[in-house]
Amino acid sequence: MILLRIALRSILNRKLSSFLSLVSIALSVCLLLGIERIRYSTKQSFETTVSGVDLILGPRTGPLNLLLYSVFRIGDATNNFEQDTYKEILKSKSIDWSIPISLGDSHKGFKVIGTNQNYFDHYQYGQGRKLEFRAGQSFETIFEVVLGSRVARKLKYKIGDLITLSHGTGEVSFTHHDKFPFVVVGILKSTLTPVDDSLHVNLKAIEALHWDEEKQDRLRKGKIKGSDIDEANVTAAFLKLKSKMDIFNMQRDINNYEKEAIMAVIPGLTLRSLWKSLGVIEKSLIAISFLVLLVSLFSILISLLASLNERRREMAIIRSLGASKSSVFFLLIVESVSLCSMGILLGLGILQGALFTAKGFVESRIGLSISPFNFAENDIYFIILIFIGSVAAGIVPAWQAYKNSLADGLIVKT
Amino acid sequence: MEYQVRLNDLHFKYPKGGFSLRIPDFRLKQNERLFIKGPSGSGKSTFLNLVSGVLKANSGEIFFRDENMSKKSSAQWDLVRGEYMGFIFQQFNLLPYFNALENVILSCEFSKKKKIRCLSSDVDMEARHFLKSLNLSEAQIHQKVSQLSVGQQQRVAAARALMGQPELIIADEPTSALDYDLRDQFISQLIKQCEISKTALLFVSHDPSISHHFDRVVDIRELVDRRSRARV
Repeated sequence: MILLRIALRSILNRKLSSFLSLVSIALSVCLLLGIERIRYSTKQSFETTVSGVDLILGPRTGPLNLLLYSVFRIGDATNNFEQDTYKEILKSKSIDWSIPISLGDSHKGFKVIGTNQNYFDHYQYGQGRKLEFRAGQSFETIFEVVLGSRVARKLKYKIGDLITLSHGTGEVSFTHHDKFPFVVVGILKSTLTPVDDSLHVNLKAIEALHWDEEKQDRLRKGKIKGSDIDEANVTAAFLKLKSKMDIFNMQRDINNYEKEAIMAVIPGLTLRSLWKSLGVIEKSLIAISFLVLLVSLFSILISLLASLNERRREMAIIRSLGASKSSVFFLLIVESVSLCSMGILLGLGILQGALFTAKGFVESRIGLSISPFNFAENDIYFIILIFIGSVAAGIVPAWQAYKNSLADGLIVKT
Repeated sequence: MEYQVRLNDLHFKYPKGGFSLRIPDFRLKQNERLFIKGPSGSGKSTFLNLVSGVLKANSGEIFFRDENMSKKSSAQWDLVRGEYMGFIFQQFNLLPYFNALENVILSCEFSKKKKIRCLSSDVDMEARHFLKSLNLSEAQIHQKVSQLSVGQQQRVAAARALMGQPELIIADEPTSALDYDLRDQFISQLIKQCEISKTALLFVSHDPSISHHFDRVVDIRELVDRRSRARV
């Protein structure tokens, strides 16, 4: 106990070098745990973007590609598959429900999704949460659109506004569907998933968008009825089966479908392969933060070592008071451990503070949900590791002090 | 108990080539105030390190409180040092990051026996008592030791050595950094406190002008048989 008090006072006595070591430890703790936290949150948010979907149906392409554009709306869909094929698949008795989506149009850089009522009834994210409306309701006619929360906020749209969609998914598009205005009938609550960045219209509307002007005119004048329009071809569909047992059978049947080149992927499995491919980046980030940690531990070692010569008298004094040879050794270990512990606490404080402050910003801008007060298992391992490192960093100066103290005895030549 | 410290034909040799020395016979009576005079380089530091058990002799016997300590482990010596001895060094006696009072109390924190032997109701009071009887003011007691003069620092060191009724105080040139006027004052205060607490005093100095305060004066060169080349 007395050693701890002496150690703490001695650290305080060397304010500047202690402070610098403290800050460098704190920063490396911040970096290490921060990267870990962001990695965890990203993974979490990816894994909870879509839930309750057993299979994703799409045209034959890479499984990862299908997952990325259908769920995460990353990249562009390569092609669609026929509505007839979709209907054929839906005949299967093992399907509980299905959400078709049709991609390829956009509005001011946000993606437009053609779908049907199932989207609002069955789509789940997070731990099985359903979509909810912040205002209005789902679309009923062809000319209605439901906005994701971020689309509405960014573009300052409200219920009743008229908007036009454009073909292609770029921000600037040359083919505007000018003659075809949509009215905003619903705005969804924030989900922190790509749903927030989407505009949702009826599959039939997607079909009608691509008619020639004359036909669109007739539709607007009511000469063509909504019920007469075919639904557009589907880019992908989320399937929920009645029984998990059927997943692999169903997947095989789809993959072997002869009339059209289609495929089905299991979202969880495909995500796992995505993580594997991202693993290298993850590991190099962690490696960098470990290097920073190593440098910080060296800074403790150096600052203790540099102070040793002027502290020879100090060691003689505590030995004259009855402290053992090993106490001199442990005093230095205690110093580096206390310095590290304070650094860890400071680092955690800074990290929590930063995450807490940034939480709102990150959620609204990046759509990433970070949970500040959530200790992952890895965090504890890292902290233990830093702790062990601090003991190791204390060993060299401690051993030096021990040797000095043996050579000096009580009478130090100054 | 007749002798506080007794050395009998003690041999010591520095492991790496340094010098070796022999102490045929040394006795310090209980409650005796002994002045050992000697120039530097006469084996004085080695002698004090041997008496305090920090260095271990290669052969011979050392008795402390009539107990043969020759074969004792360094941990047992640490205990003896903490419980029965007090030290005052030439200079820089104090931990710079504690104030004067805390420095004095420190000796009781390393030794439970010293704490128990305090005459006052608590360690704090005892420390104040010694500091005051060595003429340190209340303000100085709470000052950072680096703000005290060398003379004041040496008195704080003396107070720490006196804490907890040690049986032996070893003083290594404690006055050499003091002005001439202060030396006599310091020594008479120290000796007075030693008399009160019946503490033996082993006082080493190269300055013979202060030897008249002591019961007995010995020249280190008569005490120690120092051989071979000087320590580098």
